[in-house]
Amino acid sequence: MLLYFLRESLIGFRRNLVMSTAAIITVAISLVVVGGVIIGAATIGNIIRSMEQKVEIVTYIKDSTPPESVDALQNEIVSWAQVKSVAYVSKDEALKRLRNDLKDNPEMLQAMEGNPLPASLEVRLKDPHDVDGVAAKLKGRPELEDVKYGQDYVPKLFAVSRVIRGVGATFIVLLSFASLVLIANTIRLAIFARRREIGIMRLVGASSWFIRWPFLLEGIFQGLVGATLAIGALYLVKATGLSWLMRNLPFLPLSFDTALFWQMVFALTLGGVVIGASGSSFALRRFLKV
Amino acid sequence: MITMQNVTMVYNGSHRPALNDMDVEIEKGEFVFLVGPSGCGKSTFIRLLLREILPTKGKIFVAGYDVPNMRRWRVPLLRRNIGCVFQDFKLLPNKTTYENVAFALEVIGRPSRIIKQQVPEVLDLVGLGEKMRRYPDELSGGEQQRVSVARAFVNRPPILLADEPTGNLDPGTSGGIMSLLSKINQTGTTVLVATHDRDMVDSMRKRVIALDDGNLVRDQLRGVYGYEEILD
Repeated sequence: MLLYFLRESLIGFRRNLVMSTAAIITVAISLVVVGGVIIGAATIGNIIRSMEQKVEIVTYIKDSTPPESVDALQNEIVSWAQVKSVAYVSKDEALKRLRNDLKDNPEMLQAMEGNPLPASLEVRLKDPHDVDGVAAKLKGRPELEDVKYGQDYVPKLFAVSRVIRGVGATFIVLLSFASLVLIANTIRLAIFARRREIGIMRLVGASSWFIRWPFLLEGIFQGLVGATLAIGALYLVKATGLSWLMRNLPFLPLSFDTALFWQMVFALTLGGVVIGASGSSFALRRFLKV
Repeated sequence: MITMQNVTMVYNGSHRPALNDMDVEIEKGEFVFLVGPSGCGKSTFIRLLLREILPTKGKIFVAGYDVPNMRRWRVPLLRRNIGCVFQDFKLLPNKTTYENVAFALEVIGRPSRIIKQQVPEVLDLVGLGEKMRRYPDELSGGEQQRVSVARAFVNRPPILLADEPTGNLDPGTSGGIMSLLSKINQTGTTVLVATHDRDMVDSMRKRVIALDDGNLVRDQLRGVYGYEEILD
């Protein structure tokens, strides 16, 4: 019985080579586009995330503060739930950094007397979106002089990343829907070409599921082949295109790790199977009405 | 074997019934002609028996099934009890004679051991044992209709329905098909033939059910096609 289904779906595939090829190409192209959008969204997401990671709060400590209270303050801030780490930058450390930054203009350093730089705490957060709340808390402390966290650009960065994520998700949903419709249509044409056969099967008393299985398997098979083609194409894009971009735009934190790629392989394969199966059962419904 | 009680069929969007208050009883093993001009309701009659359509009202029993009230998923079981032959043969052009007949058994899940045994048997019965490997377009019209009779009968159904089986055939070939149907009837199968082939009906002298405009106008044992013909 199972053998019959497999044989029938293979025969059906061979016999309707043109229609099947059309369906497979449709699946492949749709999935390539979906996968491309996923890669693009992931890449942009990585860029945004690494930019967000750079958001940190720098707060300057009043010179009058005794070292014990600085230690106590640092420990307290670390214990806050939103805070990932706190780094203490001493006055000497700050001066060293400034010297390093200004090593091309030593005359500016010579104008400086002693060490006017304050010590500071650099606070990094678990979730950069909490930056406003934490900054407000720090501002109230008497030991601290000033709190800086890029008040101007941080909200804009968050707004931009929200928009980009929303657009990406919408794109993926719309494209998946479009491919589903296209595939259902292609499979419907393939089934339409075999309506005589289906009519006779119904006439001699084949059960609906018996009629459905070969078409379902054929649809799943088409979805799988399409997904494989799409994955192959995307792998080429990843292997050549993305590394080319990385070479030429080294300042962008482009990375697309293997784990994500395998997740995508899984998602596209599943997507191909689901699209093939649902497309063919949707298309069959009309022909199976008694 | 086939019972219709007060069956009326009105198609959607039509006022006149295609079948009107039909009462028919066909016993097991009978050979019955269903006659009448085109549009008289013959096809509606057959489609009702196959449950391709549901009657507007009335009761229909076929091979023990309460046809209008049965569950949808059981309809295939009903159809396995009814062999069907049509005017246009309904053969699959890309399958050989053997494959066309075997197809009917395959799709109801019969094991291949039984298929290999029954298909040649029934092809011998219809006289096509020699042409098992031919494709439909290599056969004459009469031979194609024999293939379709073989397909309808290979499962040994208790009922055989034939809708204008000789409509596309010349008189000589038609006679062959009719005697084949008669041979099948002699194995105990109930045979119902819808036709307007006057000569055939007159020469066979079987029970005749005559329809006109959806009404049963005559039900006669050993009948002929129509009274008018006698008067002529």
